[in-house]
Amino acid sequence: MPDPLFHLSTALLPGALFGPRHTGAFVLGTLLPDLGSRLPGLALERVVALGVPIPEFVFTPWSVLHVPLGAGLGAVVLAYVFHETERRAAATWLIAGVALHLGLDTLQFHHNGGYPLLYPCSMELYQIGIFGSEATVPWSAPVALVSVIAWAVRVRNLPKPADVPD
Amino acid sequence: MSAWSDANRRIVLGIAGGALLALMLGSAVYVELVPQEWGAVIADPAAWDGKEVLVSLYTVEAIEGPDRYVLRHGVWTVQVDGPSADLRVGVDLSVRGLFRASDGALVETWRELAPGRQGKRILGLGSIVVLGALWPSLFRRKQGFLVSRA
Repeated sequence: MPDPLFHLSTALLPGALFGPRHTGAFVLGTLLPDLGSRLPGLALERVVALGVPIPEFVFTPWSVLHVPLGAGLGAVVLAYVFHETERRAAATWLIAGVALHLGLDTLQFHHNGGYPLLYPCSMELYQIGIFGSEATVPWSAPVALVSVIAWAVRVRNLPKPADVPD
Repeated sequence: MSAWSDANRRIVLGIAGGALLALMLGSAVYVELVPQEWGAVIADPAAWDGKEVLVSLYTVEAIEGPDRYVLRHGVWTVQVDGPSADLRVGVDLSVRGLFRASDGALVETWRELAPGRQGKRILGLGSIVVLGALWPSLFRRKQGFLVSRA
């Protein structure tokens, strides 16, 4: 996968440039597959490294948040933290972010064959294999910096919270 | 909001949440019944003896000698017979080799270092920091729920 910071930028920069109202949900969507699947795995690996035995089946469930069906369901569930007036839009943008994330990941090359995009219907792995899995690392910080600056410029032009009707 | 749509909302959340939970639990049960990747190899060593195995993006856990090192990925540890001179603990790499059932080791035939993995982990933490810093500009709260700020 491209690194999470690069994924974040792929949603933040278009949000800053084109100003969709739901940039926040879009950004969360691009991070959902990694935060949902990798973060628990890394935390569990730290626990295992401390000598605490953790069975394999505890590691596995999180990985479903990195396949389209699981991440899509996760996006729908996550949409419920949004106010009901914009829950449907939030779900749409969260799913759009998830699709962008998984689409970018599929462009990469992995020696193991890629991602099980049709899980649980099929264990077949898919990848397009245009670039390596660490290819974005050197670019990530500069792209994120540009994205954050562009977003900051946009935010300066937003109405103050007090002006927004509740 | 009417009672009907409130009920509908609960039904959608129930279906999506239930399906996600079922998918997660199902995947846990599945790997117990049908071990995957290195888990499949150690579950039936005799069947894999002499066969080629790929372990993708594992981390060096220990160097046990000039020709032996140990990899880790999740709960799995893999003993590898291969040159360790250019390795150190914490390095990530993919290794292809022939499995030897007698001692459960992988005899390395090919490797590729993944030097960017550590940077990728740091960038992962960076993404959380950036998200946290941007949060007030992305969202505000309304009746305990999030609404878009932009």
